[in-house]
Amino acid sequence: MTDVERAMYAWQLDVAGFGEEGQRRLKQASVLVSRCGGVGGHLAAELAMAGVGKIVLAHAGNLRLDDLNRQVLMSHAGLNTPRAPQAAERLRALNPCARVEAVEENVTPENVNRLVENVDAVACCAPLFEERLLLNQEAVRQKKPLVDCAMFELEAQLVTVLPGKTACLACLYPAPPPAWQRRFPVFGAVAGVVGCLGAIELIKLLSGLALPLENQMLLCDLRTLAFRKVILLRRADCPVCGGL
Amino acid sequence: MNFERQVPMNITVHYLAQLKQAAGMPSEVIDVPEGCSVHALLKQLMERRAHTLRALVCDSAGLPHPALLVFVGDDQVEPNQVLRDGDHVTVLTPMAGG
Repeated sequence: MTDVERAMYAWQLDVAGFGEEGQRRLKQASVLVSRCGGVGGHLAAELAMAGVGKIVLAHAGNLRLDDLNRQVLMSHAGLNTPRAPQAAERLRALNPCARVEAVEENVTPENVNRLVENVDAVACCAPLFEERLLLNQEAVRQKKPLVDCAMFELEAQLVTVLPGKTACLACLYPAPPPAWQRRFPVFGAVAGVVGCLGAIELIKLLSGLALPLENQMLLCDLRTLAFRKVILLRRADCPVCGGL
Repeated sequence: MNFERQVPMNITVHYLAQLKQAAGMPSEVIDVPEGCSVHALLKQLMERRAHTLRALVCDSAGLPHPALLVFVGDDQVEPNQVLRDGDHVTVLTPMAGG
């Protein structure tokens, strides 16, 4: 670890059970962030500032005005230009030590193998269930941990998938829900809460700092500030993880 | 002859996320017959709130959609789980990012 890194991470190096060994593990780690909008943007920022060595941002399309209530890595100056490169530039500004790759694609059947293959862990922050289930399937196939962050209105939920050990997303919902809409009501602060929760799950997983959620879902109601963990069923007949 | 009347059970249903918005309330107490399963409870909810919940919780055959997550207390349960008087049932549809 360089003197600059030691100074930059000084506050977190003092966290019990973390130290220079934890920091070294983060530096060696890589994470795919599927969509770097509201949830993924907050999550990626925390990973970059914490010192995760490589962050791959997968997000297609140009920034729109209605993204800017929550997409913390973007700015008005970037309207109508591709999201992923400006998010990557912001992450590099937050931490020049981080290697950040911008992929101007959403997760698809054609690219999912390559995207997951090149990282140690996956952050699932996309708004569409087809993408989330595809990412889950590939992460399980490659036996890589996946942290699933989701939100609606003033609620959020977090699930960590450890392939072969915990329920996967296909155990929870084998098909996309019938009435989910691409646009839904939410505040950027809700995206920030669940993005940061997802980031701390990944920091724990990658550094060995503490145990992540295992067969549990964290439910957060930010209207009442009630947080609750519920226990998930792992399905033996799950077509994605049942054979592991 | 059995003169005992079947006493309904009180089940508190908690709605989360889209379901809370559609139901217009975070929770309600519902009477169900003794021996009622989660599946039967969901069908009763669909009938009771057909105009608001049906599109969120039904599959094309009108049955509870497999993406629906149901918890009794803090434990996720299967549709055939039999409920007990006083149970708290949480129902939610999955959320996503954005």
